[in-house]
Amino acid sequence: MNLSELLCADTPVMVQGATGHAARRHMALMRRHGTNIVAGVSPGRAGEAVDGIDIHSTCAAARAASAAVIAIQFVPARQVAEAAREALESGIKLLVTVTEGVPVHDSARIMRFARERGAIWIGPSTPGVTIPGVIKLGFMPDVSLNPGPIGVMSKSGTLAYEVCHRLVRAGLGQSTWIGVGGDPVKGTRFSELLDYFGADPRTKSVVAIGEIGGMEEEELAQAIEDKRFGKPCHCLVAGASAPAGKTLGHAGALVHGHHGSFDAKVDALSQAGVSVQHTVDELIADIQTSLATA
Amino acid sequence: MLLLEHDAKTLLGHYGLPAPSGIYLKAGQNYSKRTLPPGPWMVKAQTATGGRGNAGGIRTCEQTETLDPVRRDLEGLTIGNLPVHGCRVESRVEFEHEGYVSLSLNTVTGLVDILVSPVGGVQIESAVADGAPLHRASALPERAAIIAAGTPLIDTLEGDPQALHKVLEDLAAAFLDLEAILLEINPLFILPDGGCLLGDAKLVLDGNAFSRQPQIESLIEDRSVDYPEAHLKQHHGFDFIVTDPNGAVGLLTTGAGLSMMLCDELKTRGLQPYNFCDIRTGGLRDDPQRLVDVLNWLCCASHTRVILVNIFAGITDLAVFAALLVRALDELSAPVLPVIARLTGPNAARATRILDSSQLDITVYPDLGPALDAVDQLLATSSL
Repeated sequence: MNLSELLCADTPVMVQGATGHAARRHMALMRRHGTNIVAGVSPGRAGEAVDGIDIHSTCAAARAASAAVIAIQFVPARQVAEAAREALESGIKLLVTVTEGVPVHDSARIMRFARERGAIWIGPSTPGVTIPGVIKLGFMPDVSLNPGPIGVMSKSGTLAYEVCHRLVRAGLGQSTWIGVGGDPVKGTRFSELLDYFGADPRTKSVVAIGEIGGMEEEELAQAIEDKRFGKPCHCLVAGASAPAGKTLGHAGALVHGHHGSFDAKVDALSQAGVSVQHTVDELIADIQTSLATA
Repeated sequence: MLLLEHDAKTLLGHYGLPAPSGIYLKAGQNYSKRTLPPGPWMVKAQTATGGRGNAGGIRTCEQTETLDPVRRDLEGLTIGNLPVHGCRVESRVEFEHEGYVSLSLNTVTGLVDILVSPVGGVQIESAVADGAPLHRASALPERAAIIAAGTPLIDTLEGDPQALHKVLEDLAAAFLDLEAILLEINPLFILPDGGCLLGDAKLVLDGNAFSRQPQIESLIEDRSVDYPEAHLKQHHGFDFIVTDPNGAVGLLTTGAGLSMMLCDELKTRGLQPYNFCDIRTGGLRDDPQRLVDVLNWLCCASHTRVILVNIFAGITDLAVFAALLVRALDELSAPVLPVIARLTGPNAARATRILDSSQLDITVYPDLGPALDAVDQLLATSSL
């Protein structure tokens, strides 16, 4: 199954770590948004229920009882890799990991295993994935959500909250918002989302909210050129003023020399025809202008 | 996190990887001559950044009499915005060749990339662009796989095959055991007898894995001056980085990306942020201590004149946050600077009422633009 087949209102979803405090709260918020949560998983807690959702001890049991094809993980960082393996082995097709601080070698292992299993992994350290009004897998704030024509992909959660909030205030909204996370090793990268946004009829233009470090923005620029991506692309790159050699919060936000630098990203994106803006206000104005002239 | 060369060489030594004999001397630290390795020496400024050679951070020294003057010269340097807090004094080595070897975690494939070149001691990218050979292979992050893929590459170097194979085996063990993202030996000295020594070592480790790397946690604990940000995170559980000691705007903010962007937007307006901060409001847990710490650091900084609080809360109850902020400001040991706060999220209206009625010098805005305008205006007014 591909992402567009999975991101539907009726797709059954299981929650790993469902009996934890944060998971309980977010399960309620996700269900209020329309997400079809059908099962929870917490080892040793089979037979319990959270707000009427049955809890199982294993993903296999949850899958057998509910036919869930999406799993969202609310588990501690050191347990993510094992929980991910269990979810993927049970046959999950889309795995979303919101947990921060997952060791990078663990992420590499999950990434390879998800690919072997033909599954999609989004995260770690992501606020999640949402089609506003249809499905929410994560904790994007409702104040930043509105159905609309903009496809949003973001490394940072909070910066995307800000951008999407201002989109909503400007009367715009999101076709799909996918947080890929700020870690260097992750399940899904910006460039891998171009096919989804390109084929999605709701998406009229795409916004990539990037930041310094790694090569993801440069890969996106290359993919836009290689695929001759036809929809307008806008980008914001945070970290222009960041000092080299310091990791600014996100594990991936580290610049060594020219590699991963702000200038390298802006150069690559601009050459690919992406409209790169330097403030959130400029980005919103640029999107509005682009939509008005389309 | 990039380790100092000295720390990288010390750690790699535990895996059987030999470097020239050397000691680390903190800036101004006295030493006895018998603790020095055999001279003559290379005196190498220790900063966690590249380009030390080009910045004049590596010097030769023939005699003990000139060692302190050379150290003083290096300790006065700032390399890549980082002050030099100490030097590694290392025996100078007569080598036959220099090579390049690196292992890195490929973020796209999840495999380990192995690179080997007979050209070492130079900027490898530019050397390869000029035609120098660079041999590449990839392997699963497993010791046997790295050795199998890397052996044909390391065999291209001139040296004793047995010594070279041992270097590869030990590098693989260290890379996996330390959960490294990059382990680069450049140059790898190849000695006249075919043996190998690490000329320089660049080791980038994964901060997310430190909680299961006790030796790294203990290194950070011992060396707060050299790894201030990692030390702070280890003790306090959040990120706080002084980006400009002369900055006028102290930031108490949450969210890494939004905090980075805020620094950028302040600079675009011609304002100087003092710091980056991702305080993680979810980790406050009804305790104001994190806020007290950050506010004290900001109020004690030499040039800060205003504090900007920016919280875009997903689920954090802002009324709870506001009450904690008032408690924290009451507990401050330093004189309190004016505070401009932008709060968006659950219970923002109640949070604003709490702050407005606190008798403290706090102005609250629901949006970032007007909050930045207020910072701008306050600094302009106070500088008149």
